[in-house]
Amino acid sequence: MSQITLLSSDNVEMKVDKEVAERSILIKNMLEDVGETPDQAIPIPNVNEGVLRKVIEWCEHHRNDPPPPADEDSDSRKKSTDIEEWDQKFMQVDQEMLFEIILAANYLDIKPLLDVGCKTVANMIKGKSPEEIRKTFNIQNDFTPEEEDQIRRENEWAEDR
Amino acid sequence: MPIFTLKDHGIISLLLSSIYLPLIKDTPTVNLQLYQLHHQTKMASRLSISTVFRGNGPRKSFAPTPPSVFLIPEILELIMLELPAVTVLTTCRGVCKAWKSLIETAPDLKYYSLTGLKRSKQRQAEIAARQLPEQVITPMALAVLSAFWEKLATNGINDNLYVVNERPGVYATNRRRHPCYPVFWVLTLPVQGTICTVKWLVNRKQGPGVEKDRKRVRTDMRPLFKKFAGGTKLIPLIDPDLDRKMILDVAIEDQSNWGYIYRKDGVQPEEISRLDPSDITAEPWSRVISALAKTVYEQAPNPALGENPKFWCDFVYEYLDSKREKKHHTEEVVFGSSKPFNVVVGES
Repeated sequence: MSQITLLSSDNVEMKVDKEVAERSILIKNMLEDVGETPDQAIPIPNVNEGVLRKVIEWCEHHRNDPPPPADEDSDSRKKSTDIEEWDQKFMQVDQEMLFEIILAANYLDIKPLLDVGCKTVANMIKGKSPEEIRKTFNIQNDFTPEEEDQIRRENEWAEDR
Repeated sequence: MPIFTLKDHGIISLLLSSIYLPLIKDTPTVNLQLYQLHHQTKMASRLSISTVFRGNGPRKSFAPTPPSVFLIPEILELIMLELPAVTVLTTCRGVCKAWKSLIETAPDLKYYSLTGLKRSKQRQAEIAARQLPEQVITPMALAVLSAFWEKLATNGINDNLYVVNERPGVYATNRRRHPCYPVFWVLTLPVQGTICTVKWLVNRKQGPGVEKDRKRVRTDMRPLFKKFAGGTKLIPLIDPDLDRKMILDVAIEDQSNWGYIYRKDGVQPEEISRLDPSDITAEPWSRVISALAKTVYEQAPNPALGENPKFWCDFVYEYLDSKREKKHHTEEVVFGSSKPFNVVVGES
């Protein structure tokens, strides 16, 4: 099993199996283009050590996953609450780390990890009011009272009772 | 690189790219860097460097920094596509301007928030090949209908009964639109249809108190209509990508089967009898929904009596296929489940 070395943004080297690293399409394509296993560490400039370790942990666990089905419809029927138990545990991190993982998955092009991340955030949004969502994610309410009132009127049909 | 503690990866990426490149240009480790830059157009949706800067202006250091995943529209869109369409259309639109504008402009998300359907390559191919999509009545339409019927069932007609609405007159005066165009939008439907049915049920009643009921319905209707008239959102009842010319007829007439509702439990197909013309508006869509509403009112089993809370019916209509031949399409609709008037498509 050949191994490659990744270099985090804070200059920490990490050895991983090539197969594991290739869960990242970015790295996989890069390795394919290069054609041989590089001796030098591959810099991952957007991802720091802690986040990179988490991402590698996820890739290790999912190293033998079959490739995602090409048919997008079958995927879209899955409900967002359908997160594997292991992934759910994996995502039990603070919000900052969760977002870092999503960004890393996005950057490294690891679609299944990005999906799990997005589903986790979606589950945090579910059942909350706009105000609760703003509070949870520290988002500023930039609507004028008039705009807010307009939106409230538009949404009345969906409110309980 | 401990200097860069910014949470914004787009910015970091840009900074690092510009710092790294001159330094490592001639070393082997440049591979990934160059590779990333080389593929930046391909990866634009993932990196989104430009979108991070777009329209946000310079960030003040003392302002609370919103989490960066929400600053990348592509990721925010992915997150919202994991939420129920109703939540996207109502709650998420009310969070902040950026979310609202994304929902109203990003094509896939807008489509999802109004229909509850996700676009996929397969579906786009289907539409391109002029095949009738499998799901025709949109999930969002049923969510609206469910909400409406549920409230009606629980509370009766009162001020808290809301459905957004567009004035039917818009269609009557626009000749360029296909005659069955109004059925593509559900928002007027629950109101008109159900109200028609309510009226119809009231009219059907015999004996003392009927006149009082009629008056009550009339009085209750007026503020309702007023409320709905200021409507806002159009929600397609039928997949808007469906070629409208393919649908021949939507009225309840002998030549058309739009008004038929077939029961799956062995009851013979039966044409829903025509409502009294004085009770309904002239638009064909109001008849369609009246038929649907009538079925719910009249045939929904009563779980309190030990009846199976679910019942199935097929909604059938006629259309032209790509060879211009008449075809019928059947849409299974399930009424029931634990909540009164909850409507689900395609679940059994």
